[in-house]
Amino acid sequence: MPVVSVSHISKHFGKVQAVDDVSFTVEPGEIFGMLGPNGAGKTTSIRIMLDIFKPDKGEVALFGGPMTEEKKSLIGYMPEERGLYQNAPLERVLRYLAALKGLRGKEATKRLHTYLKRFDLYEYRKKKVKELSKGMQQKAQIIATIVHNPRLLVVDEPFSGLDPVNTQMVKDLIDELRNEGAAIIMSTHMMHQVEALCDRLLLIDHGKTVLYGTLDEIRRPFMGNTVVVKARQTLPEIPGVTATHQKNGVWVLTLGEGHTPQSVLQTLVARGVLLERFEIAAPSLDEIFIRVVTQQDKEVQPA
Amino acid sequence: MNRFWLVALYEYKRNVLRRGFLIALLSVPLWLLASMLIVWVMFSIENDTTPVGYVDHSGVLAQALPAPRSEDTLYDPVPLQAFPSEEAARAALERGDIRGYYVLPEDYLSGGAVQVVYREKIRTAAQSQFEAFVRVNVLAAYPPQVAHRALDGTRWEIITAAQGGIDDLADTLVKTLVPFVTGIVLYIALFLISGYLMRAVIDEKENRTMEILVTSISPEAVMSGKVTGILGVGMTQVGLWMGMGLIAFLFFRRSIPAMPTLAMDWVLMGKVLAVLLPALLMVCGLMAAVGASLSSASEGQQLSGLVTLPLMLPLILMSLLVEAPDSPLSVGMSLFPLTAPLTMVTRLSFGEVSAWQLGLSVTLLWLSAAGSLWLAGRVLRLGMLQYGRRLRLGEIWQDMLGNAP
Repeated sequence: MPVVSVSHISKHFGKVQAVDDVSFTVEPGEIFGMLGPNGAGKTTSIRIMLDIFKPDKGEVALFGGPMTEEKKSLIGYMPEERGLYQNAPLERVLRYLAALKGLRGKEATKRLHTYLKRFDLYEYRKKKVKELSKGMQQKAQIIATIVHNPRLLVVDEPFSGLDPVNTQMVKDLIDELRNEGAAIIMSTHMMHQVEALCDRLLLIDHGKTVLYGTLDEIRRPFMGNTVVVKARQTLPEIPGVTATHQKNGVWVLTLGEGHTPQSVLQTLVARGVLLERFEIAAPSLDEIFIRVVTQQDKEVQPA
Repeated sequence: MNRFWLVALYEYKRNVLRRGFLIALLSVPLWLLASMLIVWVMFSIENDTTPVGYVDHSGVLAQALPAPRSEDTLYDPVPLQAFPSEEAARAALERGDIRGYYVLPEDYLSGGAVQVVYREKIRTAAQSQFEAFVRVNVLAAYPPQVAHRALDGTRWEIITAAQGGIDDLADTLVKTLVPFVTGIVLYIALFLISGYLMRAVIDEKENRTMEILVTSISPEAVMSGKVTGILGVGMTQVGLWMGMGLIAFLFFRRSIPAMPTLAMDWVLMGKVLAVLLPALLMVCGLMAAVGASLSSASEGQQLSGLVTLPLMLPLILMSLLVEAPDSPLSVGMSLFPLTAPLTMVTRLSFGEVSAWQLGLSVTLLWLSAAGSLWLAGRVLRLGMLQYGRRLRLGEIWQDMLGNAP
């Protein structure tokens, strides 16, 4: 049973269609990336999913049914708009938020202290939240999101405001929770940061689903279009290569329609080129996204 | 424990454990205590029991009857000392044995003139005491009933056409005082509580914790938990104030025997509460709506004036209301929901209010209370996620028409 099942949700604000017929499911034990540029409709989709907004159309099932008050304790949500009570001591704030998720007493203390120590916040637990640095507040927010051991973790732009060390710490933590069987939804516009982390992805733009599937499924159609070649000599003319450019000592060849990397390799071998490296370039998600979106724009506006 | 109570408790503790709350809590009674202390000190200085002398040439005070103890004054009675001659009195004055002395001339009964000789002015209370003493003795020849009536004056009894009963004026004033003061105290509480509530709602937006809260518990539970917590804070504050007031009252009643006994008109009290309860809900609703539409507390100060100004209007016009509780202005203001609470309490305390007016006013207040709470809910839901920007009136209007986002 999927933890989240969203089918054909749509939502408009005034004249803006924020979400347009978006569907996806998230299974236990997977990290699901929701990617897209700013304003693509990621946050709105999450808010609909978590029952903060009602969709105009479509349905959402969480843990096999509609949202209930009990299910809220199984969910950890870190919104894009970060916030903690600024005028209260850190531990009191975290304890309150944990209690709202049903985590109380000794168990709450134990878990809170474990995480506070792990994130180097233990000595600051009596300080008022407003006295902490932005990065510390961000880490505190992450603790508030995961301390009750949620079965569904939803994090919106989890790495914004974090330095590389803390970013890695959060990545490790998310990985850990996945291995414990939690379903994790990660929303971000920084695609390169999550590429390696996500099991499956949803790319969304202007409220519409652009791509949806595993990283491999998404990449495959875009592979084979470009090959990277390193050779000791200048490359000869190769049939089927439409563009050639040199970058950092390697040649990047773009193949024309109907030509495969195999035929290029055959040509190179047949011509006796001494190869040091030959590889089918895997395009980054950023590149795929840009390609798909520009393609769509062309289709929408036939010039 | 229900999560709604968690919110209520957190909200309560967050407000009560603040330093500002403690200051607000203590400042009013401390200020009252200080002013009472000043009055007490001045009273003690004034309460001088140095005897006052008199020299009687008229014979009125030859077989002097003691003056009746006056009940109008808080001061202790001053001993009145007779002197055989003006020289003797003068000598006593110079020695400082007496504060001053009166001289009744031979023709006092026909002329009425009395000389007074003093170094320091004789207090009004002692002066009236001496006057009463002289009057008692002038009337000594008459039967005691006549003498007493002449001394005590007239006691006014008022018969109102509406009630048909007999009221003792002094008694009525005391009875009315308690509900009126309670009304004023509750009115202050209403300001306090609604102010706290507005800040509590804004706080959630300023801190951007709304999304975390509503994905933990329902928005209704958030709101009702907050309102409950805040009501608790307000009740604590007002309760402690009233408690301190009661202690002060009991203390002073023991020290000052002349303090009137506590009497209360319970029917009037009931009417006052009937008006103020829906008023409290209405103002809370309006302030919550204001809070929910804003993004920072400083904006709240400005906009809440729209609500508090009409509420304050009756205070400004208080003398008009007390003088003419049945004028069209008074009636109109006691019906318009925002001015109704205080106007109605004033009218109830200082005049007669017909049943239909009271009924209509209370009904209108309940309707406004329901309306403002509904509005608060709508605005809260609409403004919940509008961080950092104020809602426009147009948006609220659109939402009320049903074009919800």
